[in-house]
Amino acid sequence: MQEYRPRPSARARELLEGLLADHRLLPGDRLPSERSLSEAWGLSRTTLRSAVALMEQDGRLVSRRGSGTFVASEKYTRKLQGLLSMSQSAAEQGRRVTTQLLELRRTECGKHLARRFDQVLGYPLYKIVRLRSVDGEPLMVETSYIPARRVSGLEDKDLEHNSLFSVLEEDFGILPVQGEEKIGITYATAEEAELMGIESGSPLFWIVSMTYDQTGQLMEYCRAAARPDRLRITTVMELQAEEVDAGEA
Amino acid sequence: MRHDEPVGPKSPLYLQLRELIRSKIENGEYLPGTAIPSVGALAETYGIHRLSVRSAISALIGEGLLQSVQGKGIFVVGEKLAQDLGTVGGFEQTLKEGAQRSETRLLMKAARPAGSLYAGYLGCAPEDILYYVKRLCLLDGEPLSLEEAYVPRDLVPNLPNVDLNVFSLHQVYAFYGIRLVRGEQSLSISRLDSAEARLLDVDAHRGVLTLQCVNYDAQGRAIECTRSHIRGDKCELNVHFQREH
Repeated sequence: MQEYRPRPSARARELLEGLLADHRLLPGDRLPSERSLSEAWGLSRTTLRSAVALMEQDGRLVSRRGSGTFVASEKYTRKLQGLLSMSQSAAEQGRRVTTQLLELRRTECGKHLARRFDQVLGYPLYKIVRLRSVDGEPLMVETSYIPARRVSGLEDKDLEHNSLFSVLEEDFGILPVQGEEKIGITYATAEEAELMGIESGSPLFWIVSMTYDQTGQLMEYCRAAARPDRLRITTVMELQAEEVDAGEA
Repeated sequence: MRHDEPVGPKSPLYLQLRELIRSKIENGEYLPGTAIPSVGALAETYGIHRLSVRSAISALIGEGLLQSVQGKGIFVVGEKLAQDLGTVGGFEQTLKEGAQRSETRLLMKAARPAGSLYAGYLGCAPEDILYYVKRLCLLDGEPLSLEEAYVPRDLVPNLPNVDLNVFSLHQVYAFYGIRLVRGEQSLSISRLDSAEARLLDVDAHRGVLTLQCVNYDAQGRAIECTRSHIRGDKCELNVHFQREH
């Protein structure tokens, strides 16, 4: 068995994360000075500084020139189980979602979307582009596609003050029942960068989601680019119940 | 397990050896995840023919108590491995191109104090000892992910003797009758420091997908905390979910 010898950078990162994790420091609290941490932990100031810089980029810490380094506000958590709308789940976390409608128009399926919706070319869709912010801070740009025939008159609905899913459910009787999401990394385009107030080329979550309604039809196909310094995505994995029983019998 | 007739002094030698090895597994002399003595060594110790040793061993392999690993030896499996069970809700890695040949390289296996960060995740005391395992997963020879696991030592005391190039951690848990039934998973994008970026062969500023999981057994004990740093250009994560009733 080897001796545990972490690199100083890994140690610095773990110690800093430890400060945040056990709530000795809360969002908005100032980090002790670089000098006192480096003395307490026996790490060089350079090592500490680069660990702090990485955690700033990851959205865990914020530096304010002249006044020090602070614990960043909690990230918004997107829980994948349960199919809650963003507004519902933000409310659970005591956060406020605002939506800016950037585009709402009818469009036609191209090859790619036609395949997703299992329809022919030209099948009519609504395209909805929204900038979603949490507590006033831009979080993500979402582009949704919805079959137009099932939601005619959608352009008359207020999609800035109502969640899309609640409009679909209450006005059109379309209920989300199950879904699938693919999550990867993308890099901000100039347009996304401007909308979200970040540098173009910075890494973003790339989330492609497909949501199916009570009839099993694809009700929404959505692509979103989201700021990883403000968003965390969580899910719970569970062994399927009947197989757990069988295994323990 | 198959127990035919009791073995006595008149029984064939290979049956006597088979039962001897079985009892050494049962009383813990041969521990799960470790290799038993080689065929040659057993033949010499007991003064019997190598063919008899092989018959005894192959019978136990057939029962699933031993496993032969090419080039490494004959290993004790202990508890039979649970089959891959269906799961709901968790992230699955989907490779951008079809998976070809995957391999895992063990970078470090060491004991360390939990410290405040992992004590929090695992619900133990900061001074409790954890085993730390760091591995690099490669696909067709190219780095795919860097995986770290933190496991309380008391749960898997024999881990230092287990060859993790042969057995996965999940297999080791199975040796101790531990099954992971629930995992809390959290996905973020993080920047690696330069040494880790080099291991994964990525530009540090490009960011990687970081999946952190705390996994629990049926009794609700936290068994492991794992962190995987996954290259976003090689792989995406996929998850299915359903409306809660």
